Amino acid sequence: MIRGVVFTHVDLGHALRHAVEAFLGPQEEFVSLSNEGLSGEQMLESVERAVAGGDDGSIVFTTLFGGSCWQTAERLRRQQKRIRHITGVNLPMLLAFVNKREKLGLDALAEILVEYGRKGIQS
Amino acid sequence: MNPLLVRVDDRLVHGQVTQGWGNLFHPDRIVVVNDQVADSLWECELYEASAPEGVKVSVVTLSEAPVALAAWLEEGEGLFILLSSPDDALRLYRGGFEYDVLNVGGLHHREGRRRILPFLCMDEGDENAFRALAREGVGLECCDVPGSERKDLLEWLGNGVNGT
Repeated sequence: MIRGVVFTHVDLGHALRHAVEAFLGPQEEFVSLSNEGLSGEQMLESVERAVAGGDDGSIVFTTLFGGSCWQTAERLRRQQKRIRHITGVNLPMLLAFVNKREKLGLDALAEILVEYGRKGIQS
Repeated sequence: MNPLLVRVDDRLVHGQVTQGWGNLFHPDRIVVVNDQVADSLWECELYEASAPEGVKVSVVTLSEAPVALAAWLEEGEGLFILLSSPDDALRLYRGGFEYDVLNVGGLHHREGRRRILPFLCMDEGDENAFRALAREGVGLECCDVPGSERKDLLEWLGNGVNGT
């Protein structure tokens, strides 16, 4: 099962994960991390641990393009083949992740999640 | 013209800088002064991509910095100058680029450092570099994001600034 790692600022990632689980029930292979108080190096270690052993690959979700979490995820993506990184995560994207991750491969899933995230923004 | 912000922060270009301070001061250019980053094309690209639209990012080495910074300031550009350690901040100052105030924005935990503030951990080497800057008359202002309480680092450095 493709692993989801929500890596963002303060409590935001935990809150997003809780919201997903409030809709869809407790999830395996789905974790949230905060960058609070961590150096760049510690952030990288923390995400490395979170994706370790994810044999089917992982998608790292971040919220802010250009932010420290985004940078860390880009570093990791560069080091490891089975990592995809999507920034600008929102709840529709995460709900789609949980619903689709067993039906699609890593690349197709990452691609379709960007669409779901975009569709969730309307005015 | 003075730079808009000279900041020591081991995360360099990140949200607090681009969003927090950026939306307050609207810099034309963010300058990362860092030998290691300057040595890696990929790291340079990563930080360049981190900037908000319309803000330029440049990475320079410590030895290039004084001339490069003076030239941009001469052109009238609003600059943010980012350093990843107090040591680099001191080397920049002694290398010929003098500044009045250093914003101490983030030194995170690593072995041997003790925590002073949620965003500030220091070891002896860090303290010595800050003391040397204080002796040069540089103001050391601890403040991670605009609007949060500003604390004078001298409160913790106390000894060794005047005299020894």
